[in-house]
Amino acid sequence: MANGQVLTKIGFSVMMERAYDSTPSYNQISQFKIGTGSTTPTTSDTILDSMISSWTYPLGYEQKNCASVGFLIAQQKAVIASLVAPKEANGNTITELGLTHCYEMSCPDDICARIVFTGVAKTIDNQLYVVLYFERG
Amino acid sequence: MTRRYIKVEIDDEDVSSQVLRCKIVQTYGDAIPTAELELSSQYYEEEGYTAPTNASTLEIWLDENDPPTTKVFDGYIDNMQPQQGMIRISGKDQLSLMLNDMMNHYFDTAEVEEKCYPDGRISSIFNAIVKDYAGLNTNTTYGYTTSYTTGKLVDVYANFNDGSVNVGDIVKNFTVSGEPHANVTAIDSDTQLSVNSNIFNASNRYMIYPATGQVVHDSGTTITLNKFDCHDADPFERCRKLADTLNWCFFYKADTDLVYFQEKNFTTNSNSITIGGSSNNVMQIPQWEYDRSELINILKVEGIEQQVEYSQTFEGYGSTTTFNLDYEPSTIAVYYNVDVNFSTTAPTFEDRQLGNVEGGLTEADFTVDKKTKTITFAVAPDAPTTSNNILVIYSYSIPAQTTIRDQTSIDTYGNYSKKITFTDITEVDDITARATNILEKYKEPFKSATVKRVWKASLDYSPGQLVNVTDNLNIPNVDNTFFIVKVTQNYPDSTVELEVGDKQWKTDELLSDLVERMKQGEENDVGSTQSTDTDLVSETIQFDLGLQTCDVVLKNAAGAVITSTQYTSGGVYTNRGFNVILNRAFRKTPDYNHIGSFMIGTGSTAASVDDTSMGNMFNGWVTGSPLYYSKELDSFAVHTSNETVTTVAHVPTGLGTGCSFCEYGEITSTVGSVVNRFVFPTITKGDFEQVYITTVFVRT
Repeated sequence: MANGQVLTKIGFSVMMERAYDSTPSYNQISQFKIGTGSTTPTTSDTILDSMISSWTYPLGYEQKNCASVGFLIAQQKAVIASLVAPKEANGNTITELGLTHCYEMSCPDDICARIVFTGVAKTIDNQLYVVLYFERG
Repeated sequence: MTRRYIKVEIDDEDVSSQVLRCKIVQTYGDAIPTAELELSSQYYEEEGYTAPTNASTLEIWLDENDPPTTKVFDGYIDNMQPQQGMIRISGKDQLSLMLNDMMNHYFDTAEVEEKCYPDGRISSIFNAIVKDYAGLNTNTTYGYTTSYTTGKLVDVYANFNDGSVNVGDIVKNFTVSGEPHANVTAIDSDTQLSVNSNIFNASNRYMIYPATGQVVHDSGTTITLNKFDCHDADPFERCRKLADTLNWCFFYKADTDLVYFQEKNFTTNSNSITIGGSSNNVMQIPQWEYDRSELINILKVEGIEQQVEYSQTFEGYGSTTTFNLDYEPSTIAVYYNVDVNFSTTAPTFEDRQLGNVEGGLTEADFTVDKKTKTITFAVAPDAPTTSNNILVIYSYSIPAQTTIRDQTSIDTYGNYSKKITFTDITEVDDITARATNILEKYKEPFKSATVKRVWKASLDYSPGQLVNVTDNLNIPNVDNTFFIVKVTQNYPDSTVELEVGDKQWKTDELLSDLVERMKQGEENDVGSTQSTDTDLVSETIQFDLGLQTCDVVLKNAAGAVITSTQYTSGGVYTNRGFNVILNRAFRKTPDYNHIGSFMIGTGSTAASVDDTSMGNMFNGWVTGSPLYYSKELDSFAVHTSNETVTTVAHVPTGLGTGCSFCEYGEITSTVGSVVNRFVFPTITKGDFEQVYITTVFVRT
C-alpha cells in the first residue's frame, strides 16, 4: 500500500472515446468520489478501494462536481480541482479520490483516475482541496 | 493615621530593619507585579548578612501588626543595584515564573485527555497552563470522567494526589442539568475520588475546588476555544490572551500563594473612597479624566446571519433560459425533468443539473448570478408535459439587527454612533437586550483617576476589584463604581494609591465583540469550528501516446491486397493532439471538434510532437464541391484492456488519383492543425487502386 496516482484504463478509454467520437457515449470527467482505502493505485482500478457514500452536503450523494477545470495549453496540461467542503464527509479520514465520468449513483467501473494520499482527517474545521494535473510525460 | 509595619525576607533572612523604602505595585494581569526596595548596605555589612543576588527570593509582609502578618509580596529579585550606603532592589512576584520557560502544547477539545475536553472552557485551559506549565498553584481542578463507579469520580487522566485536591473539597458536575455538587470524602488514587453523593456518570465534565471557593472561576460555555495553540509561547502571554478573550483578569496573591482568574467585576471592595466632607479618606484631591472617544449613544447591532431554506418551481417554454429567484442564494441545487412535476414528485439524482457561478471555469447546465438573483440555463428547458418541471432549492441569509439610541446622551454630547456585530446572537430580542445593556455603559464619557487613600487596617484592595468612589469636591461630582486597575503600596508612607476607571469593566460587552473577532482570528491560525483550514493535496498524473503500429495497405479496386507494410515507428501524437484529448476529456462543451478526419501529403520531414501542420499537404485531393483537403476517417476503436486507439483511414479509388504520398495526419475538422502525424516510405496509388492506413496508438 502506497500513495500514488494513475490514469486508469477506464480513464484512458474515456479520453480516447471522447476525443474521436462526435457524439461521445461517456460524459466528461468532471465529478469525483472519495474514500478511505489505501491500496496502491493501478491502471486496472475500476472503483475506489473503500468509497464513502452519502457525503456531499446537503444532498448526501456519493459524488459531486469538481470545483474547476482549467487548461495550460502551452504545457499540454489540464488542471482539475476537487473540493470537499467543511460540512462534508466529516468523521472520515480521507485517503483516496477518484474522478468519474458517470453521473449516476452506484455507477459500476467508472473511476477514470485514482489518487491515494496521506490521510486527511475531515472535520467541520477543514476543507480538502485536491488538485490533479494531467500532463504529457 | 494607623502606623504600618513591614517585614522583608530575602532568601528567608529577615532584613526588615534595613528597609529604607518600599513600593509594591499590583496589577490585574496586564503586567507582572513588582516590588522596589531600598536597603541600607552599611547595616547589611555590619550584621554580616549575605548580600542578595539576582536569584534570591523576596517576601514582604505589611500591616498594622508588629511584626506584620499579611503577606503582600512573594517573588524573586529581578535587579539589584548596590550604591553608596544603599542597595536598590527590584523584584517580580511569582507570576514571573510564567515568563521563565516557553511552553509547547496544543489544547484541542477533540482530545479526551485534554483538560479542556470536550467543551473548550477557557478557564480549564487557563488552569492547566498555570499548574502544568508555570509551576504555580490554583485551588481548582477541571476534568472529565472517563468511566462510572458508584459513589466515585473516575478520571484516568487526572492526578488527584498532586496536592491540589483535598478531602472536603467540592466537586461539581457541569454536564448534568442543575450542575449538582458533592464533597470529596477520600482520595482513593491518582485517578479516583470517593464522593458523598453519587452524582457522576461516565463522560461528565467536572470541577473540584475547596469550600472556601475556587480561585479559577468557571468561564462557562458561552465563549469557548475549541483549539488553543501554545507553540513556543510563554505561559504569561498565553494566559493574558485567555483573559483578554473573556475580558477577565488574573493575578497572584502572596497571602494564599494562588493564581486567581476571575471576572473583572467579581468582587466589590466594601472600603469606599470618599473625597471631601466629613468622611474624606484621601490624601489629595484627584484629577478626573473624561474620555469621550468611545462614547456611544446610537448603537446598531447585528447578530449572526441565519440561513433560510427556500424552494421555487418554474416551467420551461423551450425559449426562456433565465429564471428569477426571490432571494440571493447562498447555496443552490437545480433539478430539471421535462416529464416531472416537482411540486408533487421528489427530484432524483438524475434530474440534478450541473451548476456553476457566473464566469466560472467548469462547464455547466446552468449558471447562477447572485447579484441579479437569477439562474440561466445553457439550453432553454423544454416546455413541460406537466407543470413545474424545474425545481430550485436554495438557501439565503438574513441578518438579525436592531438600532437603539439614548436621546439624553445625544442631546448632551451630540451623535456618537457605532455598529457592532455579535456572532452568537440570532434573535432580535436578544440583540435588543444586549444593545440596551451596552448603551447604558457607553452613553456617558468614561472617567478615570488616581486616588491616594489613607491606609487603615483590613483595606485589602486588589486589582480586579470594584470600588465605589464619591467625589464631593470636583465639579461635576462623581458617585460611581470603578474598576481598580492598579494598587501601589508605599512604605513608610501610610497610604495606598489606587488607579481607578470605569472603562475597564464597563466595556465587557463591547470588548467581547472585539475579542470575539480576535478569537476568531486566532482560531483561524489553529483551526476551529469558526474557521476553516484547507488541506491541499496536489498531484500530477502523466501519460503519453506512442505509435504501436501503422499498416499501409495498397489494394486493387476489387479489394485484393497488392502490398501491405507494417511500420512501428515514424508516427507521433502532437502537442496539439494532447490538448485536444485533455480538453475533450474534461469539458462538457469542448473547445475542439472530435478527431474525425485525415490528410495526406508528400512532406518527408520526421514527425515531431511540435508539428502543427502537414509537411506538404495535398490540396483538394478529395473531389466534391468544393474540393476538400481531408476526408473522414473510416472508423475508430478504443480498446480498454490494451489501452490503444485504432483508426482506419481509406483513400478510395477515384480519389487522389495517380498520386504518390508519404505523409499522413489526423485533424479535428476539415482542415487544420494535425493531432498526430506519420511519415512513411512513399507509396504510389494508381487510378483504380485504394489505400488503407490503419494506425494504432498505445498509451505509454
